[in-house]
Amino acid sequence: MKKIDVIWGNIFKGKNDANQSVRHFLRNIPLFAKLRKRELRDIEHLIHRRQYKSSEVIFWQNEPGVGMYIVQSGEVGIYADYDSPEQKQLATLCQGDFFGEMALLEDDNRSATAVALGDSQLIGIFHPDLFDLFQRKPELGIKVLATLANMLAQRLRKTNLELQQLGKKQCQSKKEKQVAR
Amino acid sequence: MNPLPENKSIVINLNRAFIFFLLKVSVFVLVALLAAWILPHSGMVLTPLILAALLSILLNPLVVMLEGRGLNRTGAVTLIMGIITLLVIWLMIFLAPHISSEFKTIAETMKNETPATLVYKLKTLLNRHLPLLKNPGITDQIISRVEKSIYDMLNNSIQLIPSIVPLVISLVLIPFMTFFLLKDGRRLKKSFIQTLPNRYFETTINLIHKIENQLGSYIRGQMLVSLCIGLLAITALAILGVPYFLIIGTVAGVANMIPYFGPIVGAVPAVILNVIDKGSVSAALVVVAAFLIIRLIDDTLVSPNILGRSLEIHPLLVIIVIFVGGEMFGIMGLLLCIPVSGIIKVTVQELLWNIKHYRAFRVGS
Repeated sequence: MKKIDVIWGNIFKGKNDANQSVRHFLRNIPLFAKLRKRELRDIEHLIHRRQYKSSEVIFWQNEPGVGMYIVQSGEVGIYADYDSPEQKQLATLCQGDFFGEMALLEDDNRSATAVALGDSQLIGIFHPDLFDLFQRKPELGIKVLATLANMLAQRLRKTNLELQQLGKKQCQSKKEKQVAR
Repeated sequence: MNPLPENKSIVINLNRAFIFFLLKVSVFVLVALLAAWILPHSGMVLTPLILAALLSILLNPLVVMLEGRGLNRTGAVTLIMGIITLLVIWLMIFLAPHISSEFKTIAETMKNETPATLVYKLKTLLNRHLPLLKNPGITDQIISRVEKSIYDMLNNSIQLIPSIVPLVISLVLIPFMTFFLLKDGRRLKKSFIQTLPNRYFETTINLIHKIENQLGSYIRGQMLVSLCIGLLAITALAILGVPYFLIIGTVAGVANMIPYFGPIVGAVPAVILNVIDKGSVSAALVVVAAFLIIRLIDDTLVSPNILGRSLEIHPLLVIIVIFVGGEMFGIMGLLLCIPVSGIIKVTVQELLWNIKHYRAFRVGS
């Protein structure tokens, strides 16, 4: 009996371990932190796990976006005008960070290029799957969408603050220049 | 002419890209050869599989709706397939006596009528009602053509008998395939996407989603149009008192899926049976007028509102596809060739859109 258990255990071990680790990882992400065990399992069916090698492009700027990614391991760089002389790194993301979330909500092109900075494992959630979830499990869909909207609002608030500070700095430097004249 | 320098050897540069190109070409050739070898023998499985795929696309919104009400996927699929099975059984029990009596009457009518008597009847009918055709040359020409068509029709119906065995197999296979495609379709799609390289992964999700959407609405639309036409035909034929209106109306509805030829397939048996029943040319004209009005309603009201112009296929291509489909897969080929060309058209359309918008699909990117 034990022998049979060992065989079956070995056959399903890899998949179960991977599922457990994904579930554990998802639970620790703010986007899914409030979800119940069963709801997490539904999300698990929805996601796509992908592995990227160092320097591999995840998506390109100005291409149609389909969904968002969460960094499970490794690092991801976000670039404007990647692969051109004007290339500029906008952010570096690490474990638990997510990017490309605007594509979940709108049918527009990507505003930047995402590149794996080292060997990275990402979790992708895509627009068609999310909208399918809204139809199948509206309650869960609303929960995810509300948390996502909350996070986007936080990012917007942060950007507003940064813009205000930038504005203040510009005003101050103008005044200083006028005084200097 | 200058001779080649003696010590100059020809060097073939076998770099990685060239080896990959050769590999790709050989894989393509292998797949093409395999497809060419399998295709002629695949009708038994391919036709039910296409039908099951179409059915699963048709039924998927119902499954999703039930999932939204709290049922799990397997439960929702089982419930829907169960309801459909019960509906089919009920229809068979309810309609079987009517249909069998209609077939019995048709058989009895046909027993009394040999092709020769039918031709004779038609000849006297034409001579009596159309004085223009009093010239025996013209009447004989028409009659000989009609005679040939009747014999061809009888021969073709006899040839159809051996196709009953695959039909029974299909009837068993289709519900099973539909059940599993509905239940595991999402998982199959995910497994397929999982196998794709990273550069094509996101674009393929987009591609599949768009194809699913367009195709789903096209197939659901086609089925709805056929249902409308079937109901219109049944009602019109019942009002006109055409015998066996239920069978003819149903055939007209199903045949409507074959563009251009479908309405003719529906109208011809109705005209023949009404003429035999009523024994006058006006009986034919009334049925033809009814089918023309149905066609008009379809072209102006039903199809534009249900199907829109999303998946228009060029008429010339439609005719070619119908002939090729009919030649390769018989009646099923005739019925399925348009949805299948719809699948191919949407795929090509979306693939071209992806090539234009994603650099992963562009050569050399």
